[in-house]
Order: sequence, then C-alpha cells, then structure tokens
Amino acid sequence: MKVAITDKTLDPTEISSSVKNIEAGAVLTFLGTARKTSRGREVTYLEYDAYPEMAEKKMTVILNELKEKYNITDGAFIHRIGRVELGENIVVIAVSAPHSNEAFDACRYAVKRLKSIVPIWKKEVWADGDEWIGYEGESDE
Amino acid sequence: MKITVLLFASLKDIVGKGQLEIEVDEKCSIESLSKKLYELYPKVESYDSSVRIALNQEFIENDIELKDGDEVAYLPPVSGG
Repeated sequence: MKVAITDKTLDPTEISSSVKNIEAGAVLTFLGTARKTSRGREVTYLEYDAYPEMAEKKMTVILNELKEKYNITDGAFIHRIGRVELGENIVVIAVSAPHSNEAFDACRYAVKRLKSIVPIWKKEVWADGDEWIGYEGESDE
Repeated sequence: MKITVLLFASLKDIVGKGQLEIEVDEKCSIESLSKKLYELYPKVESYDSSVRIALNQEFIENDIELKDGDEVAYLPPVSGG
C-alpha cells in the first residue's frame, strides 16, 4: 500500500503498475484531473494546499478501509499539491482486487472518503479572482 | 506553555502564515486557545462554525486540555481531489 503527497507531476501508468499482483484479477485507476469550468466560471489554474502528515495518515486509513470493506489486494493513493494546470492530474487512486466488482466499489468509496476526511484544499483561480473551495462531497456523509 | 497552531487554505491567507506559536496557561483548553487565536486574528472567528480542529493530527470533536508542545490545526472544510 502506498500513499504520498507530492508537488511533482503524477504518472498514472507507473502508479497503476505498482498495484498489480498475481492475486488480483482487476486493476482500477482513478485520475482526478483539473477541469476548466467550475460553478459557471472559467478556471485558469488550480492550487492545492495540504496538511501533509495528517493527509498521508488519512489516506492510509482509507486504503485500510478498502482492504477491510472490499478486500483489495493492493492500493496506491497519490495526491498532488501546489499549482496544477488545466488538464493535469490532481490525484491518482489505483487499486487491485481479485474481481472487478470489488475494484470498482473500492475506487468509488476512496474518492468519496478523500472528499470527506483528507486535509487537502483546492483553490480555484480565474481571471479576476480566486476562491478556496469548501466541501464538495455527497450530502449523506 | 507553547502550542503550535497550524492554519490552512483560507485561514492561512487571512493570517498570512500557516504556523503560529501561541503561549497559553497550563490547563488551557482548545476552546481557550481558539479564543486567544480569535483575539489575535478576529477575521478567523467567522470560520469558527465550519472549521474542524485536529490535535496532533487527529480530528477532535470535544474540548480537551492541551499539553506543552501540542500541535493544533484549524481545518476548513476539505476539498481534495
């Protein structure tokens, strides 16, 4: 299991490969990428802040939850901080599991948990202003 | 005793830095620490109801007595991913 907060660009192929395992028949990789339009505004770029030590702890908690709930074989959870340009990768979550159902469910759950308990914050910067974004998860959290 | 206060995102912008050392009395509670923080930086108080507090990197819901060297982080609603 691997977690990291990094200011380097993310390589999803490498991260995906890192969770491959002969006990697993499925590998699923989620990429969060920087989107241009948000709340009717045109974003120029994004900036991410984090409490890195606590974020890595919570990311580890999430991977352990995936192991317990969805029986994943391996997982990698890497999140970028600092400035992120449109189209670039923000977060990569890769899981491997014996079967595809578990892998899909695990990935979906991990994204939900990321948006709930991991101390990372997104700032949207547009032509004439910027804003730190608040909670974007689902209301049943 | 000295408490390290960490601030992030909008709170860091308001205060101008992400880390403060605040001197407090023995048996200081988190609530008292917050009061002191708000006295120093009144604008931070408007975030009080939406902020979650982490003590030594764990979320904390109840008020608790701080110890020398504790690290208290004021966390706005998170928005990773």
